[in-house]
This record gives sequence, C-alpha cells and structure tokens, in this order.
Amino acid sequence: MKPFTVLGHSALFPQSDPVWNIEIPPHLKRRDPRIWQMAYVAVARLLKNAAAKPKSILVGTALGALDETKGFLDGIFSDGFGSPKNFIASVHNSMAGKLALEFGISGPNLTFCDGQNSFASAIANCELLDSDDFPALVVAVDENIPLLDTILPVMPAQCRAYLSEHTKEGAIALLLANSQTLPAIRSIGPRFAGSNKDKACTRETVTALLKTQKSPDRFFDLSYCKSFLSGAAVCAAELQKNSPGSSIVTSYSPPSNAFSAIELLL
Amino acid sequence: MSKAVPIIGMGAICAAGNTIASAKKGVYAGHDNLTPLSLFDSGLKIPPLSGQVLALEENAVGPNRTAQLAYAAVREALSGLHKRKGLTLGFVVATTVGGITRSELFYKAYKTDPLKLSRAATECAGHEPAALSGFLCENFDGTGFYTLSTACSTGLHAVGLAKRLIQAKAFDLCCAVGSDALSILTIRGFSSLMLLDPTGCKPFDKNRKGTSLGEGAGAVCLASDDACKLLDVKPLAYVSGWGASADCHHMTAPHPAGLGAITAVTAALDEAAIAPADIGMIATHGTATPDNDVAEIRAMQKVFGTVPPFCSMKRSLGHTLAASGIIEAVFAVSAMKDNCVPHTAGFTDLDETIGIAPQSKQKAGIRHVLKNSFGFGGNNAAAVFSLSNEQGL
Repeated sequence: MKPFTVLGHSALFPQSDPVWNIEIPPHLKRRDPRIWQMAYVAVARLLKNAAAKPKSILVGTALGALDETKGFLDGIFSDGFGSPKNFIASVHNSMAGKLALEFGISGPNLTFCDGQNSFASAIANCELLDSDDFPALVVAVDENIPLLDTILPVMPAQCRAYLSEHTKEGAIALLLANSQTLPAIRSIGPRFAGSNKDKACTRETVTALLKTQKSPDRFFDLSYCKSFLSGAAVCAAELQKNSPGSSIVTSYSPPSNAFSAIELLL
Repeated sequence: MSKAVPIIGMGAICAAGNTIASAKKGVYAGHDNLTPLSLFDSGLKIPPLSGQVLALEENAVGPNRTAQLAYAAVREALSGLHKRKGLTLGFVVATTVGGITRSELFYKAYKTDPLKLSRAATECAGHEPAALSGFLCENFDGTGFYTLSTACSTGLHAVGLAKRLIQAKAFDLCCAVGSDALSILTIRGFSSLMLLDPTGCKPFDKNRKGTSLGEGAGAVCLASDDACKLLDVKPLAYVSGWGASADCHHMTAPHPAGLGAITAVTAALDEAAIAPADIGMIATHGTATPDNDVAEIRAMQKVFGTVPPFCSMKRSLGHTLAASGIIEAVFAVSAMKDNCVPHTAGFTDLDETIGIAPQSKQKAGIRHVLKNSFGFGGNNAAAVFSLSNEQGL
C-alpha cells in the first residue's frame, strides 16, 4: 500500500456552499446534469492553481447520476419515451467521461462503484497505474435526490443510518503524484467482512493492513457511515486543516458488507 | 508492470450457452443466437432481437438476474479449484446495471401505487453495483474486491486491474468478473439513441444499422506464479498486456480516427512486449453501429498496417455491455487454444468505407490475441492474451 503525494485538493458541498453554481461555465450550466456540474466545479477549483495537469482519472461514486437514471425511467414509465440525454448521463462513468472531455485527460479513465468504499477504491487503484499516468486525478462524487429520502424510512436500520448527514452530496477532488512526500494518502480498498465470524474482516484488520507503525493521531470510524461521501469528506476536512500527524478513516458499506481504510499523512 | 499473469480458470454464461463447453462451438461457427426479447416487456412495440439467456436455471443463485449470471460464470471459472490451500481470492467486478433489473420494476410499481414503497427494502437491496461484489465474496469465500463501471469497456478494465492486483501481490488469486442482465433501462436507452438494429446487428457489414443487446457473465481467474505452484495447476493461457485511454472527443461517439483506441491497443502491446505482427487474431468490439466499426478498423489499420484476422461476436452473443469484454475474451482465449478464428455472424457484404472483412480461419496457429472494448464516455480498453509465457515476462 503505497502512499501518494497530495499535490492539491478541493471540495464542494452544495448545502454549505449555496453560490457554487456561479462557477459553472455557461456551456455546462444550461444542459448538463447537476452531478456533472458538481464534479466539474470541484475539479476546476483544484486545477485552477495546479502546477501539473492530470494524466489519468479515477472516480469513486456509489450511485452515479441518480437523478438522470430516475429521469430516464420517469420518461419511459410516464410518457413512454426516455430522453437519450438522460440515458447517456445515467451511466456510472459519465462523470469521468465528462471530466476527461472538459479537462483533456486522455489517460486511463476508471470509475469505481463500491458504495461508501468508493473513494478508498479509487485511491487504492492509483497503485495499479503506470508511472507515466501521474499526476492522477481522484474524484469522489455522489448526489442526493428526494426519492432517496422517500425510500430511506423503509430501508433496514443500517441503510437508514448511512444517508443521514449533510454530506449526502458533493464532490471531492485530489491531484496525486507518484511520490511519497507529505502530505500523502494511501488506502486499502474494500475487504469483505465475511459471514464466518472467525475469519471476519473488521476495521481493525483493515487498519492493520496499512501497517501503521504508530497509532494515528486521529481515527475516524465510519462504520455504518453516514453518507456515501463520509470518508471523502473527512479526508477533505483533514487536508484542509493540514495539522501535522496522521489520520485513519475507516468506512463500512452495508450492501457489500465490506470495510475500507484511508490513511492521511500530513 | 509487464509480467504476464497466468489464467487458471474461465467461465461464461450467455445466449450461446450456459458454459464455455456448450457455447463455444456455436460461437466459433458464428451461430445467430438473437431472439425477440421475451424475458420482460420493454414497452417497445416490436421486441428487439436480443441475446437472452433463456435457460438460466430455475434455482439460480443470487438476489437478482445480474448476480445469478455472475454466480454461474464464477462457479465454472473456479470449478477446478477444489482446495484453495489458504490462498486469498479477490474479485474485480464489472457491471453497468447491477441490480437495476429489480429496482426498475419496483420503481415502475411504486409510481403507479405509492403503497408499494414498503417493498423498497427488498427490491432495492441489490441496486448498488457493489452489492454484486459482496454477493460473490460471500458465496465464494472472497477476501476483497473492487467494483468497476466504465460502460461497455468495463470488462477488459477488470481483467487489466486483476492482472495488476496479482502483480502487486494484493491477492494470490483474482477473479475478473463481468455481468450484466438485460433490463428495461438499457433496452430503452439504446433504443432512444436509435442504436438498435431492428433486424439484428451485422458487424462490419455494409448494411449495418446498429447493435443488438444481450446478457450474460464471464469470469477469468488469474493466479500468481506461487499460487500456481502451490495448487499444482497448469495455466490455460496468460494475460500479458492491458491498455486504457480516454478519447476526450464526445460522450457517445468514438473519435473518427480511433485515436483513443490506438493509444489503448498500443499500450497493451507494449505491456505484452510483443510486436503488432505477433497478434494472430483480433476479437474486436465490433458493435455494428455505423460509426464504431469504422473507427475501430481505422485504429487497427494505424496500429497494424495489415490488420490480422478479426471477428466480432456480437450477433452470436448480443452486446452484453460490461460483461462483453470478459465473455468475448473467454471465447477468444478458447479459440486461440482450439486454433481457430471465429466466424462473424451477421456479416455478408463488404463495406467499402471499411475496406476489409472479418474472416474466420481454421488451423490458425495463434499465439497471441487482442481483445478490444470501447464504451460511452470515450472510454477505451484493450488486452492481450497469450497462449504461453514465451516472452518470459
């Protein structure tokens, strides 16, 4: 598990950033899905002052462009016609494709859909890139739609818990270099918790896999985490604080019964 | 990361058959396995010709159709591994629809009757793509996983990442799995884009008008050299190269000169440490849409000069989206081992704008095959599979 230098970072949480949409360029403002716009603004903020241009992109998203999926199904089931625009955007990798198009990133373009572990998956897979695929752009993005709030009360308790914070939607972007100077980040992707309790993987075993030599200064246990973006949001906040030391953020995703962990070295 | 990684197990379930053995002869012969969609009512006036798995066993294992297909393919791929001897098993799972085959029906029912909301907990439980990965880990004693979704290129990316996870020693064994069931969303989506050929797809043919969708799952189990020794298994073949790129051109249309495809294929050949002339067969993406087929051949001509024998399996299998890269790679590797280039079902007339025709071949003497997959978002993947590790990588 190799650490990668964080060259830059940005975050966008619309609920606490109500005028974010003034940063959307006109050609994207009128017709593009909101989740594309969130991803675009987070990346534009990051790359505005970046010294290097990303060569690859890894996106983590739990549910993708949910509003577009719903919009397409609404069209089919209500009017008998689904909009092709909705369908194109409903594909989980539409954000990554749009970002590549807008920012001219022609290298590997991968989208990971691992629920609450999606951000950890995207970071972990940087280790599988070639050295000339760096700097790598890592993005976490998810959106909330009213239907989720409607469905939530009838979902199992574990699921109800994980969509109840204000970080329900937003976008976080990191620019990572293939080096190990501070600040740095590394992660363990999803490890199955197991049905056999003797062999069960827990947050402790996942954290141990990071082989941290000393206890981290800050430990964030996001078991049954509060939103798809919780892990990414904690990382963004820690990077913003930039307090020396290390943090470990663990996440758990109920639908896949898997833990992941991200370590920040500041 | 240029080391070739052994394949020790493969599995596939598709319109051509429920196992590799039952399907491969039909695929090689170019059987047309498209039938009018009968699995569900898509709402289209004329059910489109589709590659359906009509004989999915009644007691299939899994919470939804995508999971059931994946379970069948993985079970076949791991059938030779009677004892794992403590080796860790990872999964890289490729899917575009995940559990939407159930959640879209729930949503339809809920829209007409809001009291149906109470069914959300069961009907939407498998909606997230990651739920499929958890299901496979649960049933096959997996250690960990990654869930990928990059549209129609996903399957080959899963193979590439599985190769690199083995090389990075993240797992001893790693199964790349691609699975997608036919769904209302995808049938109606491709229909809305006018990408479905009402008479069935005709890859590279002069009269091609679009693709035909299909469903299925494929699985390729990779292993480290040490794991092969411990298990005393002989590799079936090797994954020797993987390449990935983005077109940066258009969200759905390929770059007309296939620039992104050229980058991906060149990267895969470089990683495999072979020359273009060493490729004995190309299992193309070959969707039969007018633009895609031209762009793919333009790219292959740029890389190869004289394009090696190539085929498309889309009329035999349907376009199985995220699963297509793995299912078609499974049959390409099988064909390489069986010394043939499959026939391209649906092709009859040469398209002068393409200028070359797919060709089947017996006693082909193939040592390396190239598999291409391209997807929405301008996403490109290519992988090289080799009969032996003759490069000593």
